[in-house]
Amino acid sequence: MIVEVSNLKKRYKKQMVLKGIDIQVETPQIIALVGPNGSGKTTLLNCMTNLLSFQEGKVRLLGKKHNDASIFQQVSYLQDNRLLYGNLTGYDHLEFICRVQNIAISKIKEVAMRVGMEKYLKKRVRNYSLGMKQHLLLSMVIINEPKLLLMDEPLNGLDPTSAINMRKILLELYKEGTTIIVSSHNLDEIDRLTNTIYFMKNGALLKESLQDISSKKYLITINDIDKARKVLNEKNIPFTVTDKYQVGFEETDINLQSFIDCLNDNDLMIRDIEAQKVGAEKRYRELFEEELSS
Amino acid sequence: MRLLSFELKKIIFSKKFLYILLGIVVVIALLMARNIVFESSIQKEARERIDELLEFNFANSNIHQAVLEADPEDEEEEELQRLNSAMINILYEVRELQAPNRFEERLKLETEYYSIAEEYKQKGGDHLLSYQEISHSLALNEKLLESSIPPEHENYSRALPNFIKQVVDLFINLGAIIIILLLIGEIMSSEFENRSINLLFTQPLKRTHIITSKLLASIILYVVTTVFLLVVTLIIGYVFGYKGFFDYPIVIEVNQQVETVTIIEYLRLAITLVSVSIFLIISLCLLFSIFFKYTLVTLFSVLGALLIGYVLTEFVSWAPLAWFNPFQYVLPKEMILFQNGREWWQGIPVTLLLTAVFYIVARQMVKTSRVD
Repeated sequence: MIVEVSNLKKRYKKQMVLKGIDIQVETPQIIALVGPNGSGKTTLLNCMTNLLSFQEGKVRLLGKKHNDASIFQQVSYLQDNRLLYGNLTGYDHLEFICRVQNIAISKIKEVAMRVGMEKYLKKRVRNYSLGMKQHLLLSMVIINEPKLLLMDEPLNGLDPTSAINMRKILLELYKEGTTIIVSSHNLDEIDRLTNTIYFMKNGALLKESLQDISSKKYLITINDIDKARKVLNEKNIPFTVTDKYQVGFEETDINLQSFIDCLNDNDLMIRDIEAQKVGAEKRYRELFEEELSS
Repeated sequence: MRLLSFELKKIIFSKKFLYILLGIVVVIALLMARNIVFESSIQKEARERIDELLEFNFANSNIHQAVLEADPEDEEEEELQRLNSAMINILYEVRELQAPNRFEERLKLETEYYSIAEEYKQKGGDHLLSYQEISHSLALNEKLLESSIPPEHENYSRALPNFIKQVVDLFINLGAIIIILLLIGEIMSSEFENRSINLLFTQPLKRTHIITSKLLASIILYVVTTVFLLVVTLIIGYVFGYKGFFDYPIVIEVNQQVETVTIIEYLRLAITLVSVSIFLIISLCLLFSIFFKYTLVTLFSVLGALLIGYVLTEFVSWAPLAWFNPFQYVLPKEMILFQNGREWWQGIPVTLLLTAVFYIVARQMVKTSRVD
C-alpha cells in the first residue's frame, strides 16, 4: 500500500478540521486535492507527514508509520516557500538534501537542469522571485526520486512556461512510478494533470473520478428536438436540452443503449453521440454551489 | 555532522553574523582609540589623585593640630600627627616622581605611603582609602616591584596584556551574553516562526539530531566569535599598543586574603567561566525556543531567567549555594576577584549539569513538537 489513511480525525480547539478521512492508494497515480481555503487540504498533508498531530486514525506511507522519519527517504513533501533560508543559495538547499539523504552531489546539476533553475542555482534565495522559489522547492522534492510526492499548492507563483514544465515533470515522475498527491486551486492545471480528484469540504473527503463521471454523461444530437422532448417526457427518462438539436443524458437506472433504443423506436434519428467532458471546475461548481453563490 | 555543517552555514552566511563581527571590531577599535586619547591624561589624573590625598592629609593635620593645642599631652593624637606628616612628605616626593623610568622609586614610596595609611587607620585616624583599597594597592605594588613591571592604568592602558584584559572584562560583563543572544538566540525559534522547521522535520533525520546539531553549531559559533574577538584584540593591541607584561599582577581576594594572579591566569579563568555560563544560556535558549516557538518570547524568558539567577547570586550569600547556583557565572568578574568562602570552580559542575539537563529535555520535547 502506498498510502493508507484510515479514519483520520483532527480537532483544532473545539472544531473538527478533519472528519474521518480515508485514503487508500495501492498503485501509482496522481490525485488532486481540491477544496476552498480552510477545507483541510494542507492540514491533511501535514498530518500525513507528522507535522501536525491528530486525535484519531492511522496513517501509513509506503507501509511505514507516518512518524518514522526514514519514510522521507522515499516520500517528499513540497510545502510553501517560507521554509527556504533566504541567506543560503539554491545549491546549499539541494546540497543539504543530498547530504541527509545520501544522494550524490552530482545529482544537483542534473535536477537543476531538469527543473530549469541552473542559471540561479548559486544565487541567494532572498533574491529569488516567487517562481524561482517554486522551482527550488520542486527540485528539493524530486532530487531523491520519491515513490510518494505530496505537494501543497505547487503551482503558486509559476508563470505559464514554468507551470507547463512542472506539469511535464510531474507526469514524467508518475510514469516512472511516483504517486503524487497534489493540492491546488488551479483547476485547469488539475484537469491537465489528473482525473482523480479528492474534493475536500469542511474537513470531509469526497473522492471522485472525473473520468467515471464523464463516461456516464453524453450529449446526443437528434433531428427533431421537440419530438424527442415529448417522447422522453412520456417515458419519464431524465434529460436536459442543451441546444436546438442536442439533449444531455446521464446514465443512471437507464443506460445509454436503452436511451438510444427509446429514441429509435419513435423514429427519431440520432446524428451524433458525444461523451460529455466533466472538468474539475464544472464538478467543483456543482459541489460547492453554496460557497460560490454566497 | 551532515546537519551540523548546514546549521553553521545558515548563520555564517547571514548578514547578522557579519554585523556582529564588524561590531566587535568597531568596539575594540573604539576602546583602543579611547585609551590613546586618555593616555595623556593618565599623569594628570595621578597628580590629581595625589593632590586629593594631600588635601585630605592636610585637613587631618589641621584637626590633629587643633586637638593637640587643646591637649598637648595626647600621645595618641601626637602619633597620628606624626604618621599623617610622614604621609604628606611621601606624597610630595611621589608627585615629583611621575617620569615612567622612575616607576620603581615611585612604587616603593607608594608602598610606604599605603603601609603608613594602614597603620594610621589602625590607630584611629580617618583616611580617604579603605582597608580593602590599601591592602589591594599594597599587594599590587609589592608584586610589581618584585617582578620589576611598570604599573599600568587600570582602564586606559595600551600595554597589550592589559588591553586584552580590558576587552575580556567587557566581554565577560554582558558582552558575551549580548553576542550569543544576538547570534544564536533565534537559532531554533526562527525555524518555528518561518516554518522552516518543516523542511527539517520532513527529512530522514531523527528530530533529536536537530537539537544536537543546533547545540553544537551554537557552541562552535561562540568559540569562533571568541577567538575572533581575541585575535582582533591582539592585532589592534599589537599595532596601536606596546608589548607590556603577560605576568602583570591582578589582585584577587581568596578567603579574605589578598593574593595576585597574572593576567594570563586571569584571562584563562575569565574565558573558562564565561564559556560555562554561555553553554547554559545556549541550552536554555534551545529549550525555551521549543517551548515558546517565538524568538522574542524566548529571548525575554532567557533574560528573565538570567536576571533572577543573578539576583539570587548577589543577594543570597549562603556559602554552600555556590555548589547549587548555576547562574553564578552570568557576570563572572566578581567571582574571580573575590573568592571569599568559595572556590572559583565550585559552580562549574552544577552549571554543566543543568546545561545537560536542558539539552536532554529539549531533545525529548522536539520529538513531539508540532507547528500548529
